[in-house]
Amino acid sequence: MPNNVRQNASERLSDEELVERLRNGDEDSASIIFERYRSRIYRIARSFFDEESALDIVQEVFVHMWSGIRGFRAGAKFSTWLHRIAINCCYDLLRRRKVRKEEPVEEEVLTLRNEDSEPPDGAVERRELEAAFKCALDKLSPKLRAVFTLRFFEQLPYSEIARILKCSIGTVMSRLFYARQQLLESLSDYI
Amino acid sequence: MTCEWAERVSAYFDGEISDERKNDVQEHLKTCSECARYIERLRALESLRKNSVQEEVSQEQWDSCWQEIKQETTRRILKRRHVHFIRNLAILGAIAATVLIALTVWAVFKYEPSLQCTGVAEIGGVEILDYGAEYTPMVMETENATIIMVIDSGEEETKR
Repeated sequence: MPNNVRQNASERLSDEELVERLRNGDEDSASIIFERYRSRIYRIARSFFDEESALDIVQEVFVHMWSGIRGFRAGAKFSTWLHRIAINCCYDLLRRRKVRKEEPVEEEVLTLRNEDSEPPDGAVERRELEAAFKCALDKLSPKLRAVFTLRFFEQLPYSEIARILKCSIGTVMSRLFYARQQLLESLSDYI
Repeated sequence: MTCEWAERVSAYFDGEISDERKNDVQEHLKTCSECARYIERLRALESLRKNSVQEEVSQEQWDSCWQEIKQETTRRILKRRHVHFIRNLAILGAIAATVLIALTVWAVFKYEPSLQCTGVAEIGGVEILDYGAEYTPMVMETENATIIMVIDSGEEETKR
């Protein structure tokens, strides 16, 4: 498909139309879906893993999506399905590793915080806070992290998060509260 | 957080609370300094996301990722087709074998030597049925029983 036609299709076609085309073997539709969702899936994966593993997760998610597109139930919301695949891929990789991701960020934070001789400027403070945030996020359990990521980064409503994680809205509300509690506790020196 | 309203305040912050409860939370926030502080901290957390620099993935990395996706998907689809083909072949083989066995069993049990009576004679109260050269059954009525004798290839068997 020529680039300009493809770009128009990318903007014009709904997820459902793209899925239908993909079911009929249209490879360009897969490519458009990839471009539409890759950053979101990467952000979710990134809240669990480092850059390299996050890209591996993106790859795994889209392979799952494409090769299993016939199993996608018509009438369901595609983005919910894709997000669920992403979360499940993250859980799977966590299970496979069985250990939490190594935490080099924490060392970086400590290093920065020991440099008290020179007061840090805004950029350094910002970097320090972001690193501390990342470190605090890493300490959350996978379930809390999944809920927090879908709300905080993806700004999804509770109902959507509940559908993705196959749990009740009440569970989402409560997990999100606990996730925030733990994060704020970890970041008490900053926020 | 020790205030029992904290979870509701968190949902209120996200705009995920009914209008009726929203008013309650707003009223609560006026009197609870802990929850008011909590809301401020949630805002600070939120600003962290808004102000954080988005991590960029280069176009080259995306392209490479996409190529991997295409290759892996093709490989999986082909593998699945291969598995389906082998499975279907196995199913067909099993069906064919079952049909063959069923036909064989049917043929074995269905087969009976053709017996056709070609003549009847009665000699001295004994009825002799002629089934050709192989079988020659004889039926003899007595007071207490009916005796049927089958003579096969010169050997005699008697059934009562």
